[in-house]
Amino acid sequence: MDWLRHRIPILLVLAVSLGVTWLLWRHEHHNAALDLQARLDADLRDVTSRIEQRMAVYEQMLRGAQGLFAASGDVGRNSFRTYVESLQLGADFAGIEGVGLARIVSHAQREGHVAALRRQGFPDYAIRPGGVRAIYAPIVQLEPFVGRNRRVLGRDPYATAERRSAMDQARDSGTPAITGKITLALESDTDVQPGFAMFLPIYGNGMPRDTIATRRASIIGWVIAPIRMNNFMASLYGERPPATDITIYDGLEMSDRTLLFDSAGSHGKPGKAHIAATEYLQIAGHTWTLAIRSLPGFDARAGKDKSDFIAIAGIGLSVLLTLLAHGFIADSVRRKQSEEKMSALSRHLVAVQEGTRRRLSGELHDRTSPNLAAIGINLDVIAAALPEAEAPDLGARLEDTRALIEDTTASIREICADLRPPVLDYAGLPAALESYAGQFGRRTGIAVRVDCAHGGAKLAPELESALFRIVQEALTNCAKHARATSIGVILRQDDFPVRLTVVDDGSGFDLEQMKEAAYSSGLGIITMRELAEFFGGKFTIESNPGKGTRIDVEI
Amino acid sequence: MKLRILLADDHQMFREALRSLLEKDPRLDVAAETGDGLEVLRLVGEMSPDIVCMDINMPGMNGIETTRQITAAWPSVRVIALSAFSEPQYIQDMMNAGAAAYVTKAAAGAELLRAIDAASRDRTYLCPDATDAVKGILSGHGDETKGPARIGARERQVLQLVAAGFTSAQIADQLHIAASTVEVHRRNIMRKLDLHSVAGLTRYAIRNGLVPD
Repeated sequence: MDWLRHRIPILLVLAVSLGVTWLLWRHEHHNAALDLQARLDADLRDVTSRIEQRMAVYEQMLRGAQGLFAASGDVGRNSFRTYVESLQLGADFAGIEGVGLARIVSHAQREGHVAALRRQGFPDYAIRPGGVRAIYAPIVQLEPFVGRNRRVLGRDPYATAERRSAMDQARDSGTPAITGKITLALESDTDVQPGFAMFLPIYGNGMPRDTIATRRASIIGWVIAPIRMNNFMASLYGERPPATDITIYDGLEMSDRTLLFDSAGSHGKPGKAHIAATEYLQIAGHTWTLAIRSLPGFDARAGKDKSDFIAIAGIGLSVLLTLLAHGFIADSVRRKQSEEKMSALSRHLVAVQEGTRRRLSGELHDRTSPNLAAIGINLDVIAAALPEAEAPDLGARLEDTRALIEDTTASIREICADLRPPVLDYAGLPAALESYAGQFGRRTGIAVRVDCAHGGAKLAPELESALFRIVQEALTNCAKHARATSIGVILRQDDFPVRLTVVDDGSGFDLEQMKEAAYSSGLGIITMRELAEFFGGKFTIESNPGKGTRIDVEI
Repeated sequence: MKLRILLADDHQMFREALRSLLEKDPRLDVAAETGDGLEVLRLVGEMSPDIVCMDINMPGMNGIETTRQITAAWPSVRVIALSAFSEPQYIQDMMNAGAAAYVTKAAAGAELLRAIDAASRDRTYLCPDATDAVKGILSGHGDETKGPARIGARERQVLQLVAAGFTSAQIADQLHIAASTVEVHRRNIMRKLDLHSVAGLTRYAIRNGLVPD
């Protein structure tokens, strides 16, 4: 129990200081997290706006081609090539593979169309996929006509549902439309990327296009831009936001099936405490979902995170504080123990002193008083036996001797009473006080009234000794200094605490002066106070010059 | 018919002094003596003395308990307490135990004889010291003036000279004794009369007609 009692304050200090550390750390950590989240959000907004701007440029470019048709009716193969070359794809338009043209061909026109294309220098030209359809929309030109773009000639995007719906949407609205995630026809077997295509309708020159019906009637083909996703994204940035993983999904669903782009690819393992953000983007009437996640190392981009410093410093300080508290408490426990030891020692000393006084008093009395009494009786016997002749002279001498014995006996009685009155052990404190007061009165002429009315309560012997010594000291002080004529001693030993009062009508003194003045006169008071406090009692003294002194003890 | 007395005191020298004192009186016979409380009981049963002079502090059984048992078993035996103590508590306890008289050892000579005389006549007797002590209890305080009977001839002599204004040295010269002996007498007188100054002594002497006007 003692072990716990001494350690609870130490544990409390540790708990409180660690608690404060934790609060500070959490606050700082929270701030740092908010800061990181804000940076991530800013990165995402940046990516989004770059994509939006780039798509707007693409739309503009396709509108250019659309405009070309609107201005010059039909556009020849060479004119279209010149237009696309002038766009200088590659610098600003990296990601866009080319700009192409898909023309509507009816089944009836199919034979003639294929033959015409073959005549124009494409002997292998055919509409792919094959099969019979009411309407075909084969790609008749894709500039620049190099590399994998050559694989696309004759492909009919209208034959696949994904492309067809985008084409229909563009036709009906007259605005650009993009497909969802597709694998572009121009892909070879290597480096296959997800991609999408952007379509813009071309209507016959001078034909009405103010309603869906008229637009459907006057459509003659589409300008097409196939875009490979990785190339597109690579072209957006000189520098991608570091330590982030940006993913783009087609539509609202975020899954492998809809995944258009993943900047980190398979290396994008998120860190333990990664943070993320998402944003939605409308491109040509189509929704993309952009997501960004932090990767390990992202934390380093934030302002210096002080939480680690706070945690280490806080724990260090807590340990230091706990050690100090431990030292302090151990010290006070040690001090208390040594005080207890001291108090036990002085208790023992008081007991030893009281025992010595008792023995000395007893021995002195027992060894001398019967002898003196015997001598006295012998002298009486001798005096009675004196011959008549010798009687006057020797008789007087015998009487002197008798007086010496009487005085010696009385002196021994007084010494014994001072040392330890036998009656204190024999009959208790009240009787001892009565007896001592009587003796004191005879010796000094100061009347002492003793009031010890009690109902038979018996005090512990040590306490009786202490109270007796206090009265003895108080009376001695009175006789020495107070010039009192009467003293009252009141003992209430039935009460708890036991009360002792000694009042005199002497000269009194100034307590303040007493404190400063010589030790000698104050020594008695110090002795009384120490005796009272030694037994856990309270000692008070009241005195004023000319008004006597009152001492109160409560034990 | 002599009074048969048993002396009970553990101090042999004192017993012998008492014996020699008592045997001076032809009416008294010290029949036995012992220093042990239990032995006292045995002797009382064996020889049924008239009076037992009983010390308080004794081995075997203390004087108070011994007295109680004697007065209970042999009511005709008178016990005289003979003690070194004059505190009222001892006196009360001894008298309650059945003692017929209380005499302090310091006053043992003439006072013991008076006590024996009183006891033989079935009276209770306290020596002056004991009377003073008990009187203090009865009246509440011990400040009564004491009768002149208590001071002896030599003390009266000294008192008269002190009251006449002589110094201790002058008195010593007149009485052919040491000055310190005069001091002793003076202390004894003051103690006995409960006086504390030469003025008090003089007043007492005048009041009691010891000094011619």
